Amino acid sequence: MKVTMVWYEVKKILVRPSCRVVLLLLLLLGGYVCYQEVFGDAGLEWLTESGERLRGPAAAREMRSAQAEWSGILDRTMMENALELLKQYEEEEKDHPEDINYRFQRIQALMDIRDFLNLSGKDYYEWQPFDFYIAETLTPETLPDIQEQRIKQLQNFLYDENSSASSYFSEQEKTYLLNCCADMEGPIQVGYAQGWSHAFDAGYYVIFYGSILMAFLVSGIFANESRWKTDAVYFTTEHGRKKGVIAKLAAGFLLTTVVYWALMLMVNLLILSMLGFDGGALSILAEPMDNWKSIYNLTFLQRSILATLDGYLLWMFFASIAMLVSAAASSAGLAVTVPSLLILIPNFLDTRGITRESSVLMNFFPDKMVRAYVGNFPYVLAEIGGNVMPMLYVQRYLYAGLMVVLALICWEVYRHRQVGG
Amino acid sequence: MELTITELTKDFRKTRAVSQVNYTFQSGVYGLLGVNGAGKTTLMRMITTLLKPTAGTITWDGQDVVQMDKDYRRILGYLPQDFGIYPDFTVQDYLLYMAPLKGIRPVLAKARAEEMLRMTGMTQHRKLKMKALSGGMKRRAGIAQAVINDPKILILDEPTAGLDPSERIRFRNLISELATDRVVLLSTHIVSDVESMAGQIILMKNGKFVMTGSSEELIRNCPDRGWLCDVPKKQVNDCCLKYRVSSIKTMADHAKLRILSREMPMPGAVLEETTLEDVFLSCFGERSGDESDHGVV
Ligand SMILES: Nc1ncnc2c1ncn2[C@@H]1O[C@H](COP(=O)(O)OP(=O)(O)O)[C@@H](O)[C@H]1O
Ligand SMILES: [Mg+2]
Repeated sequence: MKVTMVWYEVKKILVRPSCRVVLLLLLLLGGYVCYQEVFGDAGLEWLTESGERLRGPAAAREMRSAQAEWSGILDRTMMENALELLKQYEEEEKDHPEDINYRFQRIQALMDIRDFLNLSGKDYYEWQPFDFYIAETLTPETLPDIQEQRIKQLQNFLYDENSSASSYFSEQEKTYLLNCCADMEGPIQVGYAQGWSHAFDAGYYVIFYGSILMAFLVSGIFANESRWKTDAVYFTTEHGRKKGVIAKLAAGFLLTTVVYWALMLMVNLLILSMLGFDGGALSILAEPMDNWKSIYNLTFLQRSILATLDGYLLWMFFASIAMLVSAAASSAGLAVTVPSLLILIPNFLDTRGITRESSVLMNFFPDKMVRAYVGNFPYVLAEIGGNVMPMLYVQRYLYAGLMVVLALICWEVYRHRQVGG
Repeated sequence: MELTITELTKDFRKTRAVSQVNYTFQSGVYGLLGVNGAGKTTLMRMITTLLKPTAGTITWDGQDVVQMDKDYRRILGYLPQDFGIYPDFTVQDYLLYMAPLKGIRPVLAKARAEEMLRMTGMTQHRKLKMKALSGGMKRRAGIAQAVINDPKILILDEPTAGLDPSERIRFRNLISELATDRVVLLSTHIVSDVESMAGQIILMKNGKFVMTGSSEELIRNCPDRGWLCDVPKKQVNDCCLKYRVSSIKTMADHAKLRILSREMPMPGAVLEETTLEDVFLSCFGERSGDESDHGVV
């Protein structure tokens, strides 16, 4: 395989006007998602004392400085101080009936700690609904031990006879989940990490919707040769049935790689530079609303890296499907459709009530891989040889393996193609 | 330098496109002449290893070409009948893409591509996107890729179809230039093409080689002769049913017919020199070998 062959295969894609449009769409998708996560509905908001709603970097500045004194290890003292203030604002609110935002404006910096109190102030693990007013009912005497409560809730969730989970999970799985939860023991830290959490959310949308656009880019690599009737010449060239096919596959994977990393780097850097790089070393538990139930013991930085790598694997897997369909069915349209359905169908079925719990098969779908770290994702586990692990780990090997196998099949299918039969 | 096909056969579901063909090609230009559907394209696709034969073998200097694999394709140049282009590649991109595929080393690729552009008169069009090329220019780009690797076997399927007369003449000259020291096999359904280009002519009909030889040999062996006859106008239709008529020239009160026949068709008929066109007509039994283009199958 020669470098020039790969380069011209890539160029063959990039010179097409439709592919340029798709590249532009990918860029727009990245830009839109960044905008949404910084300034839009999913963005960062801060209410100033004067009642002005700040968004984006301005909000980040305010929040960061307001949270500064509520950063660090969430020990008993900090919890008591926070509780005192929360109760104080609850009282004061009554004296300011004209200002509907009086209390909210003041507790903004305390939100994460308040969430901790809300979440740990009960014994049951609830997916929904969330009781938003537990915190203020607590007293310094009834302040819960956060870690203890997490474990207790999980225990109740797993073993209570009224809980559907008690029969759903096996004993080994229950033990595994409790171990994961206990692993995170140690002082809980709180602090500002909005940049990382918004960058992570943005990355998810880029991975999810971008994968379909990416499939379009590589879908023509093989199929267009027959559409354009260039296959007759291609297959009569010296390397057309071996190195040329490898060059095509390499071009598809190379383009996927470059586009993916460029886009993800752009989105992450844009959001982090606007909302701040701080908090990368905090545990994701510092954002309790999203990660209270997480079984992944990760920092924000680690989660971003792992999720980005998983996304990359997903894109590469999709590229291999698209190329295989492109080669086997000689149809670029089908080559886009198959991976798109693969990522959209589980989504569709989820909303139709066919849930992950009711179907083992569903758990294998690739969208689960990119959703694994998304907050409050139900526990999806696999048991292999007596070892329990998150399905995510299985999927990583599964999709990496499938990617290689599909690429090999693609190679084998395409290089024996007859023309004019 | 010898390309040999033995008992070469290709069946499609209902039709036998090529039927037990035996032939040996040596250095020189071979013109494969036959009406649409004769099996020319199918034969060429087998020779270029694009299609697996149903039966029979193809060898190059005694070696099976399927076994030779890329070593065979290295010496192959092919211009398909339905030559496809990469719409958004420029001509130069195209040749630089084909060069490494055809085993040309990177250091030589640029020079070789430029040489091809010069040879085909495409130098000033090299920056044009291929979708913007005229039919003739596309064909020239097709020739350029076919010979960029200096092939020992050059297969050209209907290279002149759809070209205007001046383009066609250019093309004939180009192919004649390329004819030295290689096997050139070109197919056509246009008699004058083979006459001007091919040393050896193969008449193909219903998947078989029915006559082979030089133009003179074919003419000599043709059982029919061309006769010029004066016929009253109202007898023209009768004559057309009765004889093979290669041309009709209508005058004021009568018509001059050129009739193909072994014996004198009617009293007063004048024997004319037999042409390759007569041979073609005699072989295929219909008016198919004129200059007008029947289009592409
Ligand atoms: N892929 C195919 N499937 C079925 N029949 C085919 C196919 N290709 C060619 N044929 C048939 O084989 C015969 C020879 O076709 P072809 O080789 O294209 O002739 P030519 O090139 O001389 O016009 C025709 O009857 C044609 O219909
Ligand atoms: Mg043909």
